[in-house]
Amino acid sequence: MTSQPAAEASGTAALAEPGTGRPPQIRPAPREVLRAVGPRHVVFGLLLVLVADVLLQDNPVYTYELSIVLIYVLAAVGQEWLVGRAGQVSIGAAAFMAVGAFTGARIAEAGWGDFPLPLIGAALVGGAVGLITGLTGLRFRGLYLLLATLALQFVVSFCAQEYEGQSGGLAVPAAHIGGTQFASSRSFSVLELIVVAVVMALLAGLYKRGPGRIWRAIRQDEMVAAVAGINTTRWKLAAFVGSSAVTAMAGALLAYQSQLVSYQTFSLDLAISVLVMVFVGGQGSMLGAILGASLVILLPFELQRVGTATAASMPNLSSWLSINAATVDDAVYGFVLLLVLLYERDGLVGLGGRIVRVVQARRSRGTAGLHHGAAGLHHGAAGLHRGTAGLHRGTAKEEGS
Amino acid sequence: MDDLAAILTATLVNGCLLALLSVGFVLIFRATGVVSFAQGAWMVFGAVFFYSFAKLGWGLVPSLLASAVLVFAGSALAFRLVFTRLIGAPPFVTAIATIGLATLLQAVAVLVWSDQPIALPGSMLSLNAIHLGGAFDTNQVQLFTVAVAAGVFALVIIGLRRTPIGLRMRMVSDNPRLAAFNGINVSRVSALAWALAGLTAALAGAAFLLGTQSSPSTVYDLGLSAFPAILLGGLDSVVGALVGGLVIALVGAVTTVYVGGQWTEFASYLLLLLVLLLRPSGLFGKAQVSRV
Repeated sequence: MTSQPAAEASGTAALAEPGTGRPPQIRPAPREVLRAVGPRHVVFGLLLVLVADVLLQDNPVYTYELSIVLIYVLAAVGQEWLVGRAGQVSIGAAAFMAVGAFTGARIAEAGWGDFPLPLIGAALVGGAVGLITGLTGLRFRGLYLLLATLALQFVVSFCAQEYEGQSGGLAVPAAHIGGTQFASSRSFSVLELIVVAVVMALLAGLYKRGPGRIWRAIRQDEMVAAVAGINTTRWKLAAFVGSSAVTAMAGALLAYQSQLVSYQTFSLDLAISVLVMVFVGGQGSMLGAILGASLVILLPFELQRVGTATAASMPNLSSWLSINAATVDDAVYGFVLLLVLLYERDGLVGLGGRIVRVVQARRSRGTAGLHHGAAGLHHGAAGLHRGTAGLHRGTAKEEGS
Repeated sequence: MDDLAAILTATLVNGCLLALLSVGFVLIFRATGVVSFAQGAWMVFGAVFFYSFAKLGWGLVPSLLASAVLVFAGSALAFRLVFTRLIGAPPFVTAIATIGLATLLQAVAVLVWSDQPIALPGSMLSLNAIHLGGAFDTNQVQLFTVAVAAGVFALVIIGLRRTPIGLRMRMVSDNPRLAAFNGINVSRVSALAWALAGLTAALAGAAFLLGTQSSPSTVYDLGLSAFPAILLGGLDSVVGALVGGLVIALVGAVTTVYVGGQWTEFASYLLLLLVLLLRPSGLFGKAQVSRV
């Protein structure tokens, strides 16, 4: 926009000028650019502020919770790759986290485990296990991957149990880079934050480009994608291997965070709760994975707080809550998962998108033509994200959602 | 010889339990195309209802029937409330929904009945050994389990082939749209399939509880262990459910005797992976496998 006066001064010369690309008329006005920022980015910003606040306050309880949430954000982002992008379902999250945790623990123990190395090792081994499992489960259309990963869960759990023997678990030293230790929740959270940010930035780039489009095609209609010349098996396998690697990295982070790895952590319940994270947050959106992971992880802590807060006034409720904490969590997860699948299949992000659409439709009543143009532009700016907030209902339908 | 006798009886009894669970899964899959993870949860409810009625002083058969009827109704209700709204949804959505349902049901069962091993009142079937000659021993519970499974399978197989309702179920599983055009109430038939699946799972739960004092989560885990049997038999074959259950039970019994009890789950899931690799449609399943 700053070049406009100059362009006007030199008449048509600016239009022909090479290198500027599009003619100046189509350049988005600042207001339109602002619109392209969208509610999604506002939520991201708010989350970052929240995280920064927790880190600055340095309350040990909150930094501890943050350090756990970040682990599961990574795990959920990994699973969302498979579910939300390639449209495949696995129940192997816990198994891959176990693979990552044990690999990471072994490497960290071995002495040459400066921080990112155990994570990279975990990702490699997790990806390899994913490749083997995917070869059995992904050759066919349908739910065979679900069954293969169910088998993997039991096989990995058993192997981990045998490996562990009577030891009660593997001890993991605190994360370190050279001589610098990251023992406290706060400093480790910073490391986690960097890992999560790097992985998410890489994935966002991947989703925006060719591979992301191919996965989206497979997700929408595998048959049509195959007819269009996509080797669907290979691309599904790629998504599965990648998502396994990311999930295994989350497992390695968990090993560091808890400083003790035991097979009991990585139960089928854990795998189900990671699935709940992906679906409740909103499949097809990394923001959804973040929201889902935060909700699922923070719910038990909040229930605990309710328990202690009501200890004096309602001792019965309090003791019932403390005895049945894990079961109450399960009940809530199961119920919420059903609600999401029945009423808003894109989870919290879909719900947010709906609200934003209603608000925008109200605001733009009477200026329909203008709004339509803006929405079209928005679609281009926001890329190929499903259920992007601010999309027209019409465009959402076009996407086949 | 002792080993052989132990293996054979364990195979028959556990195989019948697995087959009871699997046949319900197969009925649901045939009628609605849903891969259900909820069978274990219905099994839990069969067990805890059975326990509650038995504690009220009801006899074996009334308790069994009452719990089976309750779970029958519960499973049909779950279909009406959840899965009629998910018709036409991608298969993974319905599968995840059954996982949600199972998690919720299991949590409710644990909240109400607690997760302690359940001891039935002593007046039920006895676990005292009955000699059958040779090294073969059995007891009333085992005989009862096998009899229930045999009865259920006879009814299901004959019912599907010979009765009008069975004909409708087969039509719906063949081609739901065509069945609907021919005036069949597909939704009602599917609800019946879900209800029957709940019923067989409830019977399995009660029979399991008669033999072993177990907690709800143990019963639930047993429900999951039916998956290797289901896949081995073929997702859509009733006979396959029976054969798959027996084969998986045989594998379990052999590994228990020769390798160790903790290896049984590992062995059966390894078999599941092998089936996926070599024959994904299972032994008796129609080859619906699509390689696209």
